[in-house]
Amino acid sequence: MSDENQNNIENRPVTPKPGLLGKIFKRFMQLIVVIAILGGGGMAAMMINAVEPAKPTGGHDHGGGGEDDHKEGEDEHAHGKKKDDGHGHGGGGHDEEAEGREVTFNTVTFKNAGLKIETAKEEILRPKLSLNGIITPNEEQVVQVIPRFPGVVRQIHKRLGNRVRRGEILVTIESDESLKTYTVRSAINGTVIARKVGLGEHVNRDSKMMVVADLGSVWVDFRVYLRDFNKLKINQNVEISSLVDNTVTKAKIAYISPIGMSDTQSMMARAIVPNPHGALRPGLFVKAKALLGDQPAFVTVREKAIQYIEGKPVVFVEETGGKKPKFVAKDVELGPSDGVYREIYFGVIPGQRYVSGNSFVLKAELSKGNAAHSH
Amino acid sequence: MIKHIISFAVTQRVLMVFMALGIALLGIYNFIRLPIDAVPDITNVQVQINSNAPGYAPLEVEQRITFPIETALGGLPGLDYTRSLSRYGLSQVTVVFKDGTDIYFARQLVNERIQQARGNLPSGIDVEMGPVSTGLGEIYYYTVESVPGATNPDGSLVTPTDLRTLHDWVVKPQLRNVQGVVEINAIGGYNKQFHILPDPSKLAAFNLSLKDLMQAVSSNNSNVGAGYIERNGEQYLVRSPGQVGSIEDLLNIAIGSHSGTPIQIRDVAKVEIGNELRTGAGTYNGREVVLATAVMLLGENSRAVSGRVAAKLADIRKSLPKGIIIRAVYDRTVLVNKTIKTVETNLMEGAILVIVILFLFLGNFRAALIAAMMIPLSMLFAITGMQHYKISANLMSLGAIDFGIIIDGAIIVVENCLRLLAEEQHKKGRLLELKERFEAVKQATKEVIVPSLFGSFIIMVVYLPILTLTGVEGKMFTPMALTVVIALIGAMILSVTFVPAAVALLITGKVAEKENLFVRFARFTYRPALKYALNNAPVVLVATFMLVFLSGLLVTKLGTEFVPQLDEGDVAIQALRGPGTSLTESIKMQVALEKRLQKIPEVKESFARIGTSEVATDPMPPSISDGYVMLKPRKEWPDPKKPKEQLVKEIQKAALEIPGSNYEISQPIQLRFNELIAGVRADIGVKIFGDDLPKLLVLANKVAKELGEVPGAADVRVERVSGLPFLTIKLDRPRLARLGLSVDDVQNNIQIAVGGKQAGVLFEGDRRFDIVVRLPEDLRTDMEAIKRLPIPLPPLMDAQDKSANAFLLASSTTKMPRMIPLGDVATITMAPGPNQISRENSKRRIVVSANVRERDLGGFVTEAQAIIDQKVKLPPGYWIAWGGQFEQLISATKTLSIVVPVALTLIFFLLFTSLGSMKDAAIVFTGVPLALTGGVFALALRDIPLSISAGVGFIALSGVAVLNGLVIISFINSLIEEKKMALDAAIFEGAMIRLRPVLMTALVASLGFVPMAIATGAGAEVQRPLATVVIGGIVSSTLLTLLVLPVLYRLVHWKKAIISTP
Repeated sequence: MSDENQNNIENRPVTPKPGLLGKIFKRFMQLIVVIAILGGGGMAAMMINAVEPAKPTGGHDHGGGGEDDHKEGEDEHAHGKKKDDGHGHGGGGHDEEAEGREVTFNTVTFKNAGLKIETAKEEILRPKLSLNGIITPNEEQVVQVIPRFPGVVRQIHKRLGNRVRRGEILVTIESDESLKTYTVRSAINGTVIARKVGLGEHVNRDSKMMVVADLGSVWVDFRVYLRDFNKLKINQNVEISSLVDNTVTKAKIAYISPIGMSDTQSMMARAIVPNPHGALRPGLFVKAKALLGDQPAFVTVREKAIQYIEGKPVVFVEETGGKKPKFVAKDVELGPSDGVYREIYFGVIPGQRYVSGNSFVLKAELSKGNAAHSH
Repeated sequence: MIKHIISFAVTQRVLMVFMALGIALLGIYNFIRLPIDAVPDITNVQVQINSNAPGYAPLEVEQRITFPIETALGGLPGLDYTRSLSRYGLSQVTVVFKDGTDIYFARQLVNERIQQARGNLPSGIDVEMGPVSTGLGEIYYYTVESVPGATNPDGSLVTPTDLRTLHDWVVKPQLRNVQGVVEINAIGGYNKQFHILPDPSKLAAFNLSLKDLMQAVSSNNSNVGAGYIERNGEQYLVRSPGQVGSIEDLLNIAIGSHSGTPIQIRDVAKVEIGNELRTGAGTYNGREVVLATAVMLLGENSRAVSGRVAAKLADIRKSLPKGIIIRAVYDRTVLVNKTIKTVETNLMEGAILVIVILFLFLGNFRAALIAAMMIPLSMLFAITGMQHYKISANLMSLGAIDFGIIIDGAIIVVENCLRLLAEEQHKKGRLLELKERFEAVKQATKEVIVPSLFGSFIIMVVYLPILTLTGVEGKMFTPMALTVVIALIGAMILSVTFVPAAVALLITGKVAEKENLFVRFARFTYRPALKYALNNAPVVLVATFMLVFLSGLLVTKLGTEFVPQLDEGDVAIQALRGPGTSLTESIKMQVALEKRLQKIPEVKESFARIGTSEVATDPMPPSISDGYVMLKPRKEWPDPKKPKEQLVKEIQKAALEIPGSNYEISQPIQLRFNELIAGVRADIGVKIFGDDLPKLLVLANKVAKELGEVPGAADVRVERVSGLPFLTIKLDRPRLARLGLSVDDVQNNIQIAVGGKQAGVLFEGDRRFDIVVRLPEDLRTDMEAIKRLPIPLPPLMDAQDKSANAFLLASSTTKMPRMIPLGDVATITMAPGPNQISRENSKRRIVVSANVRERDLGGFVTEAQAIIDQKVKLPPGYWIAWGGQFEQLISATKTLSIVVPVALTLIFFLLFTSLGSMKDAAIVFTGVPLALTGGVFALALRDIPLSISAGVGFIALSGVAVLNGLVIISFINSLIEEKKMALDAAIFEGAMIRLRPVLMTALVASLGFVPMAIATGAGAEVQRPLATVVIGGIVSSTLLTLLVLPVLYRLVHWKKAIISTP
């Protein structure tokens, strides 16, 4: 590689090279010598002969022929220069070329490259899906306190925020029909989270006087967007992190709404989350990660190992056998990823050693042949 | 006429001395004013128009900015061509004017057109013209660094942002006012910015958009003045300050209110001092620094300006905070001083040698001094001329002056005066009286002045072809030719006026009539040699012809070289990494490179610019860095004699140990020139013009393939235009429509989220910093994050609204901010796209370049054109133009093929006029090839390739040869005609008498060059070939003039021999 580079550099046109003036001058000198040798006699005639007319023929017609037949694969190898192959010419159809996709190092450059090499192996992928959600009270644990008969509120026993036990008296009402008072009791253990009646107020059968909710468990409703519909399943684990203090609570997806929401083109998924200390307050937003389940993958590489050449993913694989460290860019077909590892369907075989860190250096080595600073 | 002048000069001898003194004083005065540079300025007349378009991709830059500007520039008077470059965030249009156009006029014209174009440009685009400078403009580089552990006054560690701020607001303003500095161009560190990082979900929760946020910032950040009021006879000005001055102020800006509670920026966003998305960075010895360049105004004296910059920096250093250092890393003065030193040394050594030689030959110290005086005098005359013609003093313009040759005429005059004075003294047997002395001087001068003047004329004529060169070659070599011509004119004038006057004035004593040992020895050797030659004419002639023929063959075997590279003493190493290499990665590689270079013992320090600096004088992508390697003085090297080429090879080898980059090694000034001229530097450039970039690329590859198959093709290359990775976010319009979003909404979000958008300016004293709204890092850094980028949806319609506000609803997610991830409304793809779009004369183009090896360039082009015409079919609207150096080569060859014969004819004509005989002229003319042989052999011996420098040597040689021939032949003629001597006797006598001046001029010209031929100092590269040619050539020329010329003369004039020997 290094020899090649040197050639490459020497051939670059940026440094004024032995070109134009040398040539002009050479000719000029030849001219003088020739003229001068024959100089005594018919000088003028000699001069005219000595000047070689170098006229370029200028005729090239523009725009002839409408079609252009591409045979890009061939174009690219026109000059037999390894470096020029494989990149830069925007064509397809050269997956299998090992040539031009190799990088060989010597011990010094290998050390300087600072590559990290790992072995492609079986791995269990743990893909995650990030979700946004809102905490709501567990509606199965929310009770609306409604009077049995219409009447006038005579006594309110519990205030907003009071904890109540099941059977505890909440309100005393004087019935319109019997003019007798009766009590309304809590159906569950919970907290009074709403109170909408005042003393002496008249209530009907549909008046919601109080709401008692058991906040020992809450619902976290997630908005799931179209692209993630298929990923989410019931019973998947979710890790919910509070926006207040980043504490993580674990839960499971309990419900996926069969109905979509028209305005945001999303659907709702729900997790029932225990809330023993009341840290999850209904109404607040949370972030969560759904663990989509362990997926065993036959061949995986680190996500960092994947580079794109010509827009196509490649993994740099170590070529063994040679004396010098040598790496080849292999076209790969990518499978799912969990953010750390990615499954490779095709291109890398298990046990193969690949570059997992600093792999950009290899791409740079490959593409540097094409790097030029032209204006 | 000349006789009258000489008489006048001798009579008014004191006046002549004063005249010489006047010339000297004028020269000294002009020397002070003369711009001094290391190398000639080869920049063309160009105006750069740089437009900063933050965030724009190459295609958009081209379409929105480059195109309108280019269109506006059409039809400017004096316009040569325009070329443009559209890159990420930058459009650069370079307008090249015809040589000789006044730069300020050109800029004025361009500026007018820019004003016209401005209306067609998107808002927020800065259009600026590049500084009025040239390739020699970057005269001073310095870094601003902090010592490890340095802290700000508040105790925090000094950050790159702090350094840059310090530079931009403390150092730069002071330097910009230094006389002769046109620009301070900084790179590295970060521009300080205030970043507002909103949380999109919080914004949405308050039903606010990013636009509202931007609006709030801009409408809460201004001061107003409101005139004045009068109160009790006093006048009070009214002002209402409302500018934000700190992060706290920004946090307190209210965006709106929510149920009566004001919502401030602090409720929805974080505000912090952040880093700009920078386009470049600077490194020094393997660490990041702020690197700045002082750019010199066109036409200024670089030595003076960099001196002033250094002085100012010393001032500024005093006021720097503790722990901050400014380090000068490149100072043009060093190089210029070296150049001056070289010229000085040449002058001194030349003068000393000349005096020594003249003294040896003439045995008269005063005479030697008079001849030697011609060196400084003609030099100062030349300087006055250079100042007049705006030629800067540099290695090229001064380095090629051969004083030995220039004062030849004067030497001949002095010698002849001395000879005649001695003769007269001998005749009279006493010291001469004043009048007699004057007469003798006049007589002696007259005898030789015509051939010597003609000789000088001839040397001037030989320089004519150089003056016809155009383009870069012309800019390099015309000043040199002009300088020599001016110096020659000076010498000519002085040799008819000052020299005889000074001789008359100073040579008063007894002139030694007996020649000294040195000359006698020469004569002693010469006599038998001449005899042998005259008696064996055929042998001499055949041998001579063989020699000439051999040297002719040898010329074709010599290597050629453009021009010997001037050694700037430092090395520039440009690292080229794959397109798309990120700035961070580039810095990493550059740091590794610099650390490696630091291990080379000859390297003093190295620094680099990565990417594009503040003023885009050199628009490089982040993947390219211009590294500068400063070398220690030679005496500190482990091996002070190590050739530079070897060191460069070592540097290259070391650099290649750092993988990932290609390196191009040149020198700082050379690198800058290449960037500025940036034409096609290869022999052949096939430019394909058209519209569609992929199609152009396909065509270019096809052309490259065909070109590669033409015999003689080498280094065939397609311009690298693609390969920059793009993340393309393509919006799904139907989906957007269904959600009630517009394309603009989404794009605005993308722009603000990823790139950030300026919302205003924050003033701290007179420092001003941008306020930028950008999403927090975690929302914008990787592709997954961008897919998840939340796009707020427009507010709900009434019906939906109500249900959404219900307290408890089955689907509580409706209470969540109504947002949709970007990935749901757009497809995000990663693909390589155009890296840069180059245009020429307002049309997209791609260049296929090639060099030609071992083949006639003209023939190659003809064949290649035929093949490409035939094989590459161009779609309509596409065309090919042929360019490159071959154009210049052909045009130069054409010019030279007319000018060289014309010059030669002119010389012949001059000879003819001087000698009055075709035959004699032809004889003298043969001196030219005879002289060239020696030069060619000398080059071959030292393995120096042919170059223009060597060419100048040859040119000078031709002149000297003709001059010597002329002197001998005209003397022989006069012996025959005036003294009626027999042919053989006249030839022999003439040659013997002229031996002294011929040897003298030869020795002066060649020995004066010996130090140059073996020198290694600055500029030695240019002078070495020249000196070698002259030394070699003069040896052969002298031998041949002394031996072959008499033989030829006899051969041609054999008839006279018969007539005169009845």
